[in-house]
Amino acid sequence: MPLIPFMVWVTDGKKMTSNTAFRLRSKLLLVSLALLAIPWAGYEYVREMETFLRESKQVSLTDNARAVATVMHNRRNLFETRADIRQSINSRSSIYARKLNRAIQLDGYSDDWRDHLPHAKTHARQSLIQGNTPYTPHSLSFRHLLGRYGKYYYTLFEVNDDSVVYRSPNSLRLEQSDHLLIAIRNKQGDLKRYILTTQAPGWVNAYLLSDDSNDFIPVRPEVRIKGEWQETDTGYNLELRIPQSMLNDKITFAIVDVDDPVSRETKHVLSTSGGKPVSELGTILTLSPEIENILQGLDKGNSRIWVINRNRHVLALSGSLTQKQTTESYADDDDTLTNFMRGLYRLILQQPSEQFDDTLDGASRLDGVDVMTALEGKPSLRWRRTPDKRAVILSASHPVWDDDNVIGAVVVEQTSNDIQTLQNNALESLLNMTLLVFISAMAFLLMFATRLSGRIRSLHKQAESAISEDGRIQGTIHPSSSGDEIGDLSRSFSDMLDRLREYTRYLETMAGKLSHELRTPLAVVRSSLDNLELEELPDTAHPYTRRAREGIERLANILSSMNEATRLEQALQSTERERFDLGALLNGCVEGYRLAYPEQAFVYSSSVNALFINGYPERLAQMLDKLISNAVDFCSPDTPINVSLDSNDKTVRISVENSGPTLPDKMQSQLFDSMVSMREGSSSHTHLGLGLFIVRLIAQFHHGTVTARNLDDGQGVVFTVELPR
Amino acid sequence: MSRRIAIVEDEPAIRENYSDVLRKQGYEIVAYADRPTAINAFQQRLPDLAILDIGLGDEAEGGFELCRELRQLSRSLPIIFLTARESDFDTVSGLRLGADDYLTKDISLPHLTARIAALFRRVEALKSPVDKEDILQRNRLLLDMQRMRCEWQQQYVDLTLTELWIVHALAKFPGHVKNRDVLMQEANVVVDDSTITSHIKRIRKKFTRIDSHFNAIDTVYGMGYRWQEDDQ
Repeated sequence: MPLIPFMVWVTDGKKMTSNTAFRLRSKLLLVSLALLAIPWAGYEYVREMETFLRESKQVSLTDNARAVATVMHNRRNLFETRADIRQSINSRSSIYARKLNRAIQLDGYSDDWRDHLPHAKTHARQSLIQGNTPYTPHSLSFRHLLGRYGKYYYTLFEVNDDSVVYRSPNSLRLEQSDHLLIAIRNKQGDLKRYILTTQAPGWVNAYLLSDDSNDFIPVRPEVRIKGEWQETDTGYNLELRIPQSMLNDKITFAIVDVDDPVSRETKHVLSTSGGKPVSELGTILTLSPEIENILQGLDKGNSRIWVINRNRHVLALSGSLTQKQTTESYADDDDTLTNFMRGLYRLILQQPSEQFDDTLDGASRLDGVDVMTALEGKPSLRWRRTPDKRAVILSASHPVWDDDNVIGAVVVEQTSNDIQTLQNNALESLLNMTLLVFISAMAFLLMFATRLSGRIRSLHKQAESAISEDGRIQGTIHPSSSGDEIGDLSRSFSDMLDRLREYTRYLETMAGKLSHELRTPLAVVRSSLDNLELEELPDTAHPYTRRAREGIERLANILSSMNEATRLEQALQSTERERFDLGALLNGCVEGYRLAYPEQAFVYSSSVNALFINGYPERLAQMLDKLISNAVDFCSPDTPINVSLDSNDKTVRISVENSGPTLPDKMQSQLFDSMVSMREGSSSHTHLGLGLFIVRLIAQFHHGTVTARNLDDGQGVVFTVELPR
Repeated sequence: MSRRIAIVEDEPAIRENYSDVLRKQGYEIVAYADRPTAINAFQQRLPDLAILDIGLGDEAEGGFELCRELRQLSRSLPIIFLTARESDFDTVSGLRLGADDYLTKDISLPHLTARIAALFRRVEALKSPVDKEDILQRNRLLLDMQRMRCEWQQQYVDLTLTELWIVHALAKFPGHVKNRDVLMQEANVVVDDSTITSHIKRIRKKFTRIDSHFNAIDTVYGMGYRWQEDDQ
């Protein structure tokens, strides 16, 4: 409980709370965003790593190419097993025999060829060797594939023919219907011609034709050449099998179209020998088993190795780009969070695709710039993107030398998928790590900031509650034991408050001390005056002693008023509450005031008769004395002072109302402070402004409040004391 | 033989002033400035009445100590505390130690001399027969203003001089409200309202110690007190 401030404490109890947007926590979190530089730096690092990886990939691929090429240096025989290859081969008439992985079922359907269909060679106008009418691809064109498996060549024709004309059952002529001509050179080097035609779709056999090239007389059926003729929506399919032993790498096919079933005239002939007469046979190109054997022994990893001859024909191919190198082991990870993160990464990171469309796959010839360069004798490198943009392929080409001649080239290819996978993995783990670090750093910072701001807030709260709105020190700040700056702050706050409290206490006890100290000299003067009056004094001296006594009395009054609050405090603390009738007390008091102030009218009104409360009746009477004394001093002449009492469930309210001068607005809250008086000028009676201070002390001691306000009509003032019941 | 009054007071001017005025009243005065010299002198010879200050030089409570020692020397010696202190606590402490009265230095010399005279009168009266005229009998209350004695239901009530005078003022005219000013005048004290309140409170307590149902002193709020004894 505060005591008597000797001075007037003028404080405006404004709370120093700042509600600005950025509190300490938000600030720290904002600062922690700097951590985002980590993933950025990591990303840059990964990018650099990519460059490095690409470079090392180039080097290793070049090395690979060189190594493979070195194996084949000076081994001309590998590249020139067949004499005729040595001559320049007409690439248009040569036919590439694909390596089949299994035997083809001769059923006239292209299903077995699925892997090779994209490489089927289309024959149209440029293959035209004979035509009676203007050519349209609609009338005749075909796609052709040749493959080998075991001891056989297999071949497929997908013929577009607007009108399929079968052999007439009545005719012995074989050439008067849609048919296929095959010209081969057998092992003995003789040219042999065969014809394939049919009366209806189904199983077909070839017939050997006579050696006269202008004649189509069948000599005998050739059962070794057989297959299936199947009609399709757009024409017909022809699937054949020819034993490899029948021929010596030379072959030409020609599709002969007959559209008019009546005249049965040959309309167009398309040949695989590139528009040359059937007698100029094309060469069957196959991969070189020897080179393939060499390549077989190499560790190819996920690279693809081509060996080509000077004509850029593929002699050997090993490995594949699309084999599944990195088996994704994600599936057995059941952690939903991990899966979620993976899904997220898949969205933001470009995933290496194993399903890319590589036009080169299965090609029979390589045309890249790097290949050309290699064939000119210089190793070269090329990055290329697959047409579907789903993968990037690096190819390293290296020439194969025979003395000073380039006899071929080795092309080693690899996708950048492994780099990308590596990069993605690195990015993923980087992101994971960063996220982890970021989240834990955030959490840590948040915790730290929360704790920090919590401590500061608690200090703030303590500091705020330590001093009441009217500037009294009412609490303490517990000094923190922590050694940091906030601890220091808390300690200095506590220290400051202690010193301030001491000083305030000193000030508060000042009045008491002062009055006590003044009392002795006062007693000296008073007793001296008493003695003086006992002496024989001339009459002229009496006014002086009288004045001196008056002065002394006034001084004594002042001292006594100064002390009143202190003594009131002590008295309040040493007395006990009792239950009494507040109504009776007010009634009695008003009666007393009527006697004490005979010239003043009092009106007492109460909404209740008996109102028992717990409190200190004498002190409340004393409080009322002060309020009445104040009201009497300010009351306009001939107007009554209204004292009223009313109550509700929780509080009782005592009002003292007088007409007269109103209170200045700013003074209303200070009015009850010690030593605040609003009386103007000096009066004979001493006013220290302690009366209303005592009113507040007593009201507060009853846990109540006292307020002063001007009447609504501006004609007076009402003081209201509210006490809890 | 003039009465001998001891004044123990560390402030020379007050000591001298009080000595002078009491000497003029015909008392013999011995004055001491501190406790050791005073107690030494008292052990040689007891005064007839002692006026003690509480704070004596360096000894803040030297007066209380002196009072205790003096009470050991004599149970009947009238002792008056005269001090600048005026807290209730000091008053109670002083009176518990057996002082007959507790006055603040606000008191005027005529009031002081009246008290001294009354105290001596009490001492005198204890030796002389009871004078009926000075006896005030109100139902269960009996006041002997000659001996300065008060009885309630035939039991002695240990009142100080001030308290006795207050009870006397109230009981003289039962039912009449006496305001604080009147009581102060009657009790020869100049004190403020709250001091009268605490005097009344102490008086009630002393009576209540004898009779737990004591309620003869009635507070009339805002006006004062009156003696109102229920007729049983």
